[in-house]
Parts: sequence; structure tokens; C-alpha cells
Amino acid sequence: MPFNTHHGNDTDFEAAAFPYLDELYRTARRLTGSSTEAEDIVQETYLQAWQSFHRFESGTNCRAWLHKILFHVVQHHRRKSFRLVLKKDDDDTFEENLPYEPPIPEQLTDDDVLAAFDRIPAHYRDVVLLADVHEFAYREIAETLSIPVGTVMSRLNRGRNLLRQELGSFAASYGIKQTAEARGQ
Amino acid sequence: MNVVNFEEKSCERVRGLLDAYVSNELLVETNLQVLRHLNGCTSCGTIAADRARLRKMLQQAVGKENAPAALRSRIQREMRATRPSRSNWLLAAAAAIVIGLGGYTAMHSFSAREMANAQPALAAVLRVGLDDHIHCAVGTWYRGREFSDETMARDLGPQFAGLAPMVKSVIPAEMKMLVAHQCQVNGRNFVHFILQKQERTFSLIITRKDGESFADIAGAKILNSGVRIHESRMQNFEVAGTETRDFLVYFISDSTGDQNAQIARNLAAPVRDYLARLESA
Repeated sequence: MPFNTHHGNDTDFEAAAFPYLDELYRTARRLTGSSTEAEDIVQETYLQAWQSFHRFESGTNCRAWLHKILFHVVQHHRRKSFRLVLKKDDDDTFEENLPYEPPIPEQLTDDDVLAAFDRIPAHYRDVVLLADVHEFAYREIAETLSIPVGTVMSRLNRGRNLLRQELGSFAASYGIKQTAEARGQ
Repeated sequence: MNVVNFEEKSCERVRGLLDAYVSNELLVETNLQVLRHLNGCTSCGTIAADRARLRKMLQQAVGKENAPAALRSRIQREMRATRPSRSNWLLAAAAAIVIGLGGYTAMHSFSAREMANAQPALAAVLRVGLDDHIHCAVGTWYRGREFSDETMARDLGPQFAGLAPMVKSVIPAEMKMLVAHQCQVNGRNFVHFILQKQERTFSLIITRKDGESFADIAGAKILNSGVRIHESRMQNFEVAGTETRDFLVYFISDSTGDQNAQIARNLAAPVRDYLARLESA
């Protein structure tokens, strides 16, 4: 094997992978809640991708490939941090638990949306991020997270409902605050 | 993709499809039928619009933040640092040729450390510690977390808790002890210290022997303390290993060979003495 084909060509790798740097960072940032940790995870993702770039088929979906690696790295970190607590039946119980669909409040800042998003459990956040922010197809999400498409759909439904509930509670707290301020005046 | 029979149209059934509708996962025909229902049903139309709006809001909020400007160059720097060097490759090729020719004398022109790269028996014993390093110290799970001396002593257990102050006392002042604990990889127990100096991560790893030994492997370096130590570079890590009667001891890092050897020199004798006390107890 020629010397430099083990890792592929650096220029080819950078041309294929670096256009997704911002997107991967945003994903890692939302999944970890920490900019420092997100940087480390993205760096690790790129190094792993670079080391296996010789296995990557030119013309296939580099963006999905990079996200798959990133989620592997994130899962590893979560296991290390003992943060992931997943109830076995979570994916099947959303219909009974969340029959009500609260409306989305009108006046919300980006920070409100992110704060609400960061509060939903990680395994729902993963799916909502891939589906709603990055607009991956269900099939690609299933592949990225190594879960069945049906689980993608149930987690997406549950995750979106939880996000709406979180945002609804923001609205409620604003309402309380505004009422209190009005009384104060 | 979902297909639905709309003979019995109902808000409930349409709402059951709204997730797929918002995600653009419905087949064209079903999508059109949902659209028709939404046009005629204010209640479902409002919910669908709300869901689409939430999606937009989330995209906008998440999309605000870009990767720090320095991250790309940091990654490129790491790529260069972890690339196998041409000289190593040439060395491996040369060694292969020499072995092929049966040129024993010529082999002496390579250092013991370079020779070690070609020894499967050594690699197999060093691999035991390297697996734990890769499993436990490669990554960032411990960064930003502070483990107190009490926590580390607890995580090490009574037999090995005394190692922590000893390690602290012999590592360089600018090196931090981030983690000290017992961990398990592939069913095997390890005592593991993760040390850091200038963004480089070092591991001191101890595990009970399970039939492995460096005893019959040539090429060891003898330290002034009398400790026999084997060194090699494996998977872009510097790996040094030694042994006591019952234990294998490893010093592993992503730093240079010289720096890893320095840490090994500092720690090897005190660790050997500590383990000898355990063995004689």
C-alpha cells in the first residue's frame, strides 16, 4: 500500500469534510450543552473520520457519514459521563402521556427556544435535532443512531411534544411575571 | 413513507400524520390529501402551522452559533500530529526487507525501540494496557470535572488509594492528576491514573497479570533503579510497560517518546516498590 493512501489525501478530506464544520459544531453544542466539550467532540469526530477516510466512498453522503461518527463519539462521552438514563418503555408510551398539544407562544427569543430544547432528554433531542434542524430523512436518522425507523418516528413525536410543553411553560412563566409586574405598577 | 386511506377522514388521523407531513416524509398522494384536509380544517391547519413554525424557530436558534474560528486549524494541527511519519513507514519497509534477507547484523542498526515495533509478543503484552488507555483516557469525559483527593481515594479502593499521593509527589509540578480510579475493560480490572500536561494526556495503568509477562521479550531498557522497561509506539500512542511479580504496569501517552519515557522513569520505581509491598502483604 502506498504510504499516503492509509489516510487518503488530506486535501480531498478537507474539501469533503470541512464544509460541515459549523453544522457538526452546532450539533455537538446542543448535544453536550458545553462549547468546550463540543469543540473536543468535533475534533475527535474529524480525526476519526480522517483516519477512516480511505473507507469513505467518494460521491456518497459525507454529511450523514460525519454525523454518524459524531453521534458515536457523543454516545461514548455520555456513557463516560453517566448522563444517559433511558427508560426502556419511553418510546412506546408517548400517546398516553401526552394527549394535549399546547400552542407555541408568540414571543419567544432564540435563547428561550434553546433553553427549552436543552431540557428535553438526550435521546429525544438527538432525533429532533437531526430531523428538524438538519432535515435528515427518517431513514438517515435511523442509520445515524442505529435505531429502527419506527423508533425515530416515536422519538420525534415525543421530542416535539416535550419541546412544545417546555415552551408552553415559558409562556406561563412570562404570563405570571407580566401579571406580577402589572400589579406592581 | 406512509400511505393512508382517506375514506374516513378525521382530524385525529390527519394529526397522526402531521409529524411525517412536517418532516416531508409522506408520499405525494398522501401529502396532497393531508394538504386538502388542512385547507378545509382551521383547527388542524393551526396545529400544522404551529409545528412548522416551531421547526423554523429551532433551526434559527441552533443556526446562530458557528464553530470557533480556531477549531479548524486545531483539527488540522492534530491531523498532522497523528499522521504516521514517512520515516516510520520507510523504517518498517526497510525492516521488512532486512528480515526477508535474514540480515541479523543489519538489524542492529535499528534502536531497541524501533525493533520493538516489529515484535508481536511485545505488542500483545503492551496491548493490554493500551486497550484500557484508549477506552478510558482517550476522549474528554473527564475534562472540566474535578475529582477531589477523597473521591480518587474512594475510587481507587483501599489497596491502591496510597498510590495517589505517591504519584502526585513524583510527577512534574506542571502536570495535573485528573483522574484516579479503578475501571474495567473487556472484563479485566485496571487501576488507572489519568495525568495531563500541556494538553497531552498520560496514563499510568496497573493490572494483575493473567498469564502475560515481559520476561521473555528482548529489547528492554534497564533504568538506573533496576526497572526493566519496554517501549514502543502503537496506534499513535507512546507505550511503555514493565512488570512486578503479580502486576503489569503501563505508561502511555499521546506525547512524544521522550516525554513518555521521562514520566515512566519518574514513576516506575515508586510504583514497583508500592506493588511489592502489596505482594508481600
